[in-house]
Amino acid sequence: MKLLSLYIFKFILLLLLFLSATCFAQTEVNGKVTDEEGKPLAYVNVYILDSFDGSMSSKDGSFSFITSQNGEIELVASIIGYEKLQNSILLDTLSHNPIHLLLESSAIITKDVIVTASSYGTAEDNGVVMTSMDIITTPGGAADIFQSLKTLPGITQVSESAELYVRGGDPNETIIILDQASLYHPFSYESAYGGLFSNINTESIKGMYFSSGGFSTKYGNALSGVLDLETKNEPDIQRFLIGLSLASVDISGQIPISYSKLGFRFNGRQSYTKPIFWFNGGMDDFTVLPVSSDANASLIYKYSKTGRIKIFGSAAKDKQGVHVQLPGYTDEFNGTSINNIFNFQLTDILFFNTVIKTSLSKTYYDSNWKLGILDINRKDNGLKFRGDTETILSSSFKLLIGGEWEYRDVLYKGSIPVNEFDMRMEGEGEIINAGFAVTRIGSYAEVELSNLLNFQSLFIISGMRVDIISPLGLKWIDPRFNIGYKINKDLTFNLGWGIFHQHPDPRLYFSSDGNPNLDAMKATHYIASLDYKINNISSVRIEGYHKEYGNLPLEDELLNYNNNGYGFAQGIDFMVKGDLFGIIDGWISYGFINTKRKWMDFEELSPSSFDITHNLTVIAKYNITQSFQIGLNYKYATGRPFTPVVNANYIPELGIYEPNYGKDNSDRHPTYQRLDIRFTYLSQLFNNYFTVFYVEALNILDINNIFGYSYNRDYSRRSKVDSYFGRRTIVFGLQITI
Amino acid sequence: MKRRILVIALLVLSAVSLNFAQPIDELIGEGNKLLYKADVEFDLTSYIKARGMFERAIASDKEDYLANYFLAYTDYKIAVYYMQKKEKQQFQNYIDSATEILKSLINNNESDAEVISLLGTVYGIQVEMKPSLGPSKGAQNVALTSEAMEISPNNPRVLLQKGISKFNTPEFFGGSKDEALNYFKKSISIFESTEKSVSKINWGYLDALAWLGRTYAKLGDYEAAISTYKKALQNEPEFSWVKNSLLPAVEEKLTSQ
Repeated sequence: MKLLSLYIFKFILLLLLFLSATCFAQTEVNGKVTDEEGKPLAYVNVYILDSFDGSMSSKDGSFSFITSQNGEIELVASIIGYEKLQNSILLDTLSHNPIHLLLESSAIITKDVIVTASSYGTAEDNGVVMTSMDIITTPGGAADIFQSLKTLPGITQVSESAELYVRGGDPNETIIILDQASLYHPFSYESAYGGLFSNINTESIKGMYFSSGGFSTKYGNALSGVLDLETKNEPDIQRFLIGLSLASVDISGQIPISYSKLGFRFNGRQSYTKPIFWFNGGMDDFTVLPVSSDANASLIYKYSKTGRIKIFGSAAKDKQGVHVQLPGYTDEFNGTSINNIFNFQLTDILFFNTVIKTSLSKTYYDSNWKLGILDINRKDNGLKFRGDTETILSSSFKLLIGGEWEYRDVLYKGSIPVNEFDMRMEGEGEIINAGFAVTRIGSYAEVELSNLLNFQSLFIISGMRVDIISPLGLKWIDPRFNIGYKINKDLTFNLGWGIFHQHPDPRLYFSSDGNPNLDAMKATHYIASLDYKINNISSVRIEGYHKEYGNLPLEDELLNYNNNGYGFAQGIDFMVKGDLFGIIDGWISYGFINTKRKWMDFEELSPSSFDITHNLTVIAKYNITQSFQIGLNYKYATGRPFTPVVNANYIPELGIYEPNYGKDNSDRHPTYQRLDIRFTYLSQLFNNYFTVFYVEALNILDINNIFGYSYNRDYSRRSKVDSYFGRRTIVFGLQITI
Repeated sequence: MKRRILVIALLVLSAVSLNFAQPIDELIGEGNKLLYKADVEFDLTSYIKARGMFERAIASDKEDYLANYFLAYTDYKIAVYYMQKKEKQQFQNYIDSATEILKSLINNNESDAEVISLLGTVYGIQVEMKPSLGPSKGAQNVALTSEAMEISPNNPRVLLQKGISKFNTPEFFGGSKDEALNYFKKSISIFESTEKSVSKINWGYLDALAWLGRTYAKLGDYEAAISTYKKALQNEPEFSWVKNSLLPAVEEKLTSQ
């Protein structure tokens, strides 16, 4: 019995030894980890998936560990800053071949290299950066995106409106995009002089990209510039913001419904002008004081780690009534507008390396303008689908492909004066009822190559886009090319070239007074730029450009309009941004431009109406104490060209005078100058609510800037019409964050 | 006979436990030891090694709470390391990694004060790297550390991070060195009255002492600062932050007075 149990004991012991021996049948896994250039990578975590075996690579990139696994295993190598590598490997107890693991650096690094000419953005990879903080604290900018953008070089100060006149182009030549949707009327108080402010609430914007020329083939049907805006994503924390000033009441809120998954944002704004005019004077100019309201809301759903759905809706409306001086009498201009946007956007990442963005948007615009015999209703409705993809093929090769389908329906209805100079109610009117309904299909492909020919510092962006517009029968192909060279870490040189097409204003296509067979306008851009990063916060950019315009619409006796117009724009833009003596923060931008056109009703090549030779903006902000900031915005701009009236003929049958004009744009308005000052005081109420108090003095020097001129009955005398901020205007208000 | 059976039983058990120990816990335990060493010496290599352990634990069980939490904490500390070296890109890489992990942990449990306060601190450190992020990330830091305080007002790490937030936030945005002092004191007293455990979240005591010392120093009470630092060194004589930087700086100030 004793013996037996001893045997059993020995047997079990043997069995156990054998068991543990098989359990510990061990293989050594060893090898080396390197990057793409063969440089050894230290501290890479190398391990077998679904096991606990692994180790860390040493300084020379080598690793080795023992595993009891065999057969086919998944070997993982990971380190931050590189793409995670996972390889299937057949483990064989007998052979000990060293394994070479090659890690590719994460794509983020490529962005660092590429700085494109003429572009400004809120992302650091766009060279010169303008943050939302810059927008909010720009004195005189009224925290308005467009008004603040006007402090950048390349945008000329043609008027005080919020419209973007980019390098001598008409505002229609700059497209405005919000989460892939096209916005054709993002302004409130639109009049013949342009809209005064944008109806896009700065609070709802996460990032922006602005280009004054030579932009990507992603953007089509634009001759001069691009403003691409992106709304905010799901909020992390709940926050409400209430603003109250002489000009408006604002309410904003962000509510995370499910953390990092589902969130809601809303912004509402009611602007009124009565207190401003009551405080500063000028109420008598208006019959209906300008008021506007806009609201937007977005629901953001992050349905997976990479996928996001954004539903954005916005509604805006405004109205105003203002006295207008017409030759020999005073009339009243009344304007109202409604502007709605709805957008559904989906973004996701496919196959680990492709970012896909799609959007379906609907825009609706309706406005009424009334002045004497002019009584016109405009509708501009759009429906658009857009898809963009960005594929990172390697750390030095990015491919962008996308397309858009857009339907736009523009309708003009009402009466317009037959004679431009006779706006009287009893003047001769013409009934207009014309529409423009077109479908545009556009597509593009573009490559971004860096690390070219083994030159880490050389990069190229090159692409091509095709647009087809029916039923206008227009089709164009736009190739664009940009080459950049990083001379050193802080200095980048860029050359850009591209062809840009855009169909003329829809109004010119009406069969009644336009030409339905008009061809697309064409521009060729040539750009050279130099970017220098002085330090982390300060940078300088200098840029020279030349643009050739062709196929511009020109008045024609027979056809109403033909495509024989042409022109050019050339100039230099300069910007320095950063801090001065470490205490004053801000930027200086200067643009010199020379632009001439022969288009529309011009008789010969003449300075275009946007030929503002010198444009200078100085923005400076200084923190007196931690909670007290003073900022100033100084603007100097050459007066805008205009066509003067030389004399007038009396027309007995109408009983009024008809003006005779001099040479096109042969005279200029006086120089434009304005200084705005803003005091900001930050504090805390009841220990919990952050508050911002501000006082802003617009045009503090009370410089009498003008909109234009009005004339007496026989045009023998002219008098100045003040611009919006043609007198000193004080605005104050506060903002509370809860 | 009985003894043999016992021997066999023990052998079987040990064989089994050799092969089938709970390796995730072991990896985490190993990672934690490295992490402690890294925190004490502020040593990148140890942080990265610890990171490897947590990453491997996660490779086996994606949902493992502790492994994820520690990985995020390690990434945060590595980011702090790169912040001091002014390596912007690496800093951002680790911040992004920590943020992503913490956000997914919050997705699983929206009222975990440990995670919420750590995410708040991760936001806070970004303001230190780039002050212009103050209005966005700074506000998030304040909101999240306050939220964590509401959930677990007696968690010493939550108190510590609330204190750090109060210390770093500019006064007009609600920061206060005096309030920070109280948070650190309370944190330390809770650390001292509870038992330490090995595999659970237990960082923070040394940091709380270091921050308390810093706050005393900032308020001009150099003697209190020195005695607090010395207390930290009694606990961990090699604590490099205090030993090589904080303590010498205060001693210098005291002698120059």
